[in-house]
Amino acid sequence: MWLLQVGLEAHFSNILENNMAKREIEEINAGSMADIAFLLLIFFLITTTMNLPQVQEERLPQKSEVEFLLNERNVLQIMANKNDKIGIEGEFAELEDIKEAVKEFYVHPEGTPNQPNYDTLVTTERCQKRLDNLQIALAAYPDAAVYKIDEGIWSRRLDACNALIDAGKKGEFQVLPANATVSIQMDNSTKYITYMKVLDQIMQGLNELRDEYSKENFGVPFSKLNDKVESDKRKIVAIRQVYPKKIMKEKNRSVQ
Amino acid sequence: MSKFSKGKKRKDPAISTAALPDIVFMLLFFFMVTTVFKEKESNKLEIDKVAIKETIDLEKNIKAAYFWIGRVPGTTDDFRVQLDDDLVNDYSEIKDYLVKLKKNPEFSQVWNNRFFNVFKVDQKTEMRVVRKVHDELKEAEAFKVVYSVNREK
Repeated sequence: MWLLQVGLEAHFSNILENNMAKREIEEINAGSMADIAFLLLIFFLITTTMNLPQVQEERLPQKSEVEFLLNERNVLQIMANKNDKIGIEGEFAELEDIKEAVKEFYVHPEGTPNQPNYDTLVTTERCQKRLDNLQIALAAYPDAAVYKIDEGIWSRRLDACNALIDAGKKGEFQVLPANATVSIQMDNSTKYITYMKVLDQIMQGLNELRDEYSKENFGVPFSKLNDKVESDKRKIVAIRQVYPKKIMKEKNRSVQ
Repeated sequence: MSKFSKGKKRKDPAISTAALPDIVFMLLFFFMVTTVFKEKESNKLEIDKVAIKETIDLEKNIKAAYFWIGRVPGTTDDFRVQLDDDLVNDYSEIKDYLVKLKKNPEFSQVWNNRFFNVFKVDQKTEMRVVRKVHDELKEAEAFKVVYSVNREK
């Protein structure tokens, strides 16, 4: 009897407790909400890429009446006539051919006819020697703009050599002569879209060469280097020395 | 039949709103980060931009002069140039505008490195128009030009 009473009491108290639980909802602990919020915030911060306006850049030349006389083999001439037909070195061509022509202009076996001969091989010693000579020259003629430009060129080349050495490669590379250039000639009636596409093709060719060179020497494609990172920036500058963007725009003239 | 029996009437506890500021701040931050201000568009000219493959990001925090070249919508007249807010009637206005801009110390300090001439040009524009604008820029010694384009996939 006593045992039964205890059992019954337990049973009733169970029922009683169940009823109580239904009446009062426990407050949800919101303490971890902030954690979840921050987690989401950080996730979006990392995965969201910003869409900056995309551009193609160009630097206009100084206004000058000086006519340049260039060796024909040092110039890759790209033209577009008023009907937006493309010509490379005086021959009709397709837009897509420009890329290959640009690549060949920058990289070809020494002595190929109608392609520029390479300048002397750039090495650390040569850069150093050149800079020493320029220092002497600048001491004598401190205002000579030519020397100052030369000093800039050679010190950047020296930096490029050092960047290559730091990457465990030979600190030397070949460069085109200073006056070798891609020349663009557009008719007055050529459409703007043709001009942009030609520039695009040239940059595509150049960037492919830069990508290859970067992969070979630094193990990363050029396009993956980030100019906000100091060590990457050095590589970018070095590669730009090896494959510089050299585009010249010729004066208005009618293209046949 | 009574579904609303007195005995079962209960008071709901208030939902805690302590986490609400967190959520609001999270949303705020999210939109702050992802929002890119819409590029300035021309209100007077019709511009159909070119799409190319090799593009670069336009730098942030730059000083710029905006040029639009295109046709007035609904016409087949010559291509017109819009400089900042107004259509250019005579090309020499461009030089005057830039020279005036250069006198402003905010612009003159960054003239050679962070000042850009941003071009938004309709793809059918003839090069003669672009050239005339370029000539004016050279006169005003504003050499940095960027062409706003779409990226081709």
